[in-house]
Amino acid sequence: MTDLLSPGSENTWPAPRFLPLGEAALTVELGPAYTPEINARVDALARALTSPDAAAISAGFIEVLPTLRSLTIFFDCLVTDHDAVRALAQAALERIDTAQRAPETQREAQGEAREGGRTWCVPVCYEQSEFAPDLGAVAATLGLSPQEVVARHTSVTLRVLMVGFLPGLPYLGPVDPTLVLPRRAAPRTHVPALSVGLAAGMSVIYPRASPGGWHLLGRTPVPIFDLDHEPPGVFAAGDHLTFRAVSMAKYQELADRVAAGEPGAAVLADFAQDEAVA
Amino acid sequence: MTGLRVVRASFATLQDQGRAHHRSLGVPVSGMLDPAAGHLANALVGSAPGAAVIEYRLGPLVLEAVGGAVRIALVGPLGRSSLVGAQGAITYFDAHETIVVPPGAQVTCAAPAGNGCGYLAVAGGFCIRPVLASLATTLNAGFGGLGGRLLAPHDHLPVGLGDRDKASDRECDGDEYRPADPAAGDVRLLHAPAYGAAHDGVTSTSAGSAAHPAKEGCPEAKFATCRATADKAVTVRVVPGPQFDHFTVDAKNLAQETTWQVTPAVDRMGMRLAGPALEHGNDAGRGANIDSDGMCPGAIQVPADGQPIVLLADCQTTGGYAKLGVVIGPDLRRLAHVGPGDRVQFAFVTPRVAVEAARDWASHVATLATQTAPIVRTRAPTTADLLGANLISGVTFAEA
Repeated sequence: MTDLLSPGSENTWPAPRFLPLGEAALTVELGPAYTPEINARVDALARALTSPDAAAISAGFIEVLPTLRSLTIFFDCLVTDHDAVRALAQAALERIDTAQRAPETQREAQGEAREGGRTWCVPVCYEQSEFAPDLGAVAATLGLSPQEVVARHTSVTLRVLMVGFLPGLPYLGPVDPTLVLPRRAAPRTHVPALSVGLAAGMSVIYPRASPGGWHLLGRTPVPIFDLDHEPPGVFAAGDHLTFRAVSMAKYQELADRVAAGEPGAAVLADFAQDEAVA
Repeated sequence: MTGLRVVRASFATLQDQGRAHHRSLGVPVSGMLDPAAGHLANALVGSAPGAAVIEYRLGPLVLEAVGGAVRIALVGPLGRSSLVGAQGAITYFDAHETIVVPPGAQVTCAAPAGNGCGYLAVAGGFCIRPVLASLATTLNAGFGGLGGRLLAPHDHLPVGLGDRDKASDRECDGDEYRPADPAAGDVRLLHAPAYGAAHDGVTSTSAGSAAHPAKEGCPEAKFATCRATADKAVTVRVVPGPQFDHFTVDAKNLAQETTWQVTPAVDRMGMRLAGPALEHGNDAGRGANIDSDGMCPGAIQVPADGQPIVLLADCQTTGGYAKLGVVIGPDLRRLAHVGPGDRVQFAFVTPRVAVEAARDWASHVATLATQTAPIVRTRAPTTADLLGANLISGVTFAEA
């Protein structure tokens, strides 16, 4: 597997841009557009800024919001300001770059341990046309069979690139390069909860019913944002995820467990274990 | 337990300072559109600045005290409100002052002027289970406040902790219930904050009146000055946004020179403005659409049609349209009192000026909160007062 954090021995990263977002936030833009490499760097910066030692020195720090190619730092402007926060972010980026220039063995001991996040295996029923209204059209557009689309959608380990748009909605990517296509020309006014969407080289899971413009390939039975559990959102930026095709029967079995009150994260953990054994 | 029962509400929600710290989960911050008004209402009744309040607009808010007396305070661009006691006696009161609502009495909180917002705080706070440590209602996500929805007739809002056991206390945002004591006397703010150009005439009038003769009850009369100034646009200061360089020089100039019309598309998520199209440069990928990045209330996003949308408290945490700028906090609160038909102007400022403005505003509001005076009512005690006093001094709180 290629190392997303080091594009080469030289530091070839674009210069970061520090962009004020009002009086109490600073967006650190790490590249002109989303790439998987830039997104991994966003994740590394988020981890560096929220590690216990970094948080201790940053008075007025509220939270960080990682997105596709940027990280927004929210702060209390009564206590600190853009310049101080910018200095924190610059220092964190330097620490990341220093760690990457270090020899392999040393890197494992240092920063690399911070990379990662949790790994998930998410069951998706691609069978029912009600669950997968766009599967046929997507396959036709891409010149593939529906089975091939499903096989490719489930073959790649995706990263949670960011969480946004709706509470708990993960942007996942990059998908298999043969599955890249733009959003639907006409967005739907109603996308059912837990639909799995595909567009723009990424995939999403809708935590609840919402309008939306992604192509719908299937549906998962497991809730991914639930205020009755802590934390309410299952996925965080930097987590890894693979989709796994399940039958309607398996979908129903898992949906029943959820209906009986089991937390989504627990159902997913059991499912991953079963799949690993099988 | 003691509380307020909703009799009538048109667009009212429970709000507090919102839920920061959950943006990375995609959870909107929400909270009061005008935090200073809520802060002052809380200060009047002795609650913490960020305690939950009722935010209401588009009509009056009618509530009834149930089970005990409740001290309330109203803040906002409001006319005269009224309290009808259980025996039918009417007491009038103004915004920016406290009043005790005896059990069984009904309080009609005046409709905010124009498109304004009113804030009602209660001594002891509301005892409702917080969601992610906040009572703020996020309407579009359907959580927080009371079931994630607008307040409706027959809703019961428990006040204070009452005699609930310790375990349930931890699930309640309320403070210790303090029976409202009419003998303690009501207070009013000496100086109210400005609400926005359209309402500035109101605040000086209402804050200047010490006595409240009941017959001078027509709220409309008070807002003559308000109408006279309604043509004036509300000017808000704006820090250039993360995608400021996505706009042409003409667009940047036009953004400041234009008096923007507020369209009917206004809710707690955002406010669509209408005016000349702001053109994106469209060079080197710097167009209307961007790879989604962080957003915040106040952000001015401009889609390809060139018409700006100012995002408000319930906005999404990330967005895929170029952001021209961000309305600074101390001025964003003025947009709480602006709506369809009103006009808005932008004035660009540097981030440094914005930080200084936020600090100045915070200390100004803190000062306003300390400058209160006892209310000297010119009339004799009414039946309602006496009824309230009897209940408070007695042992009838057994049911509370």
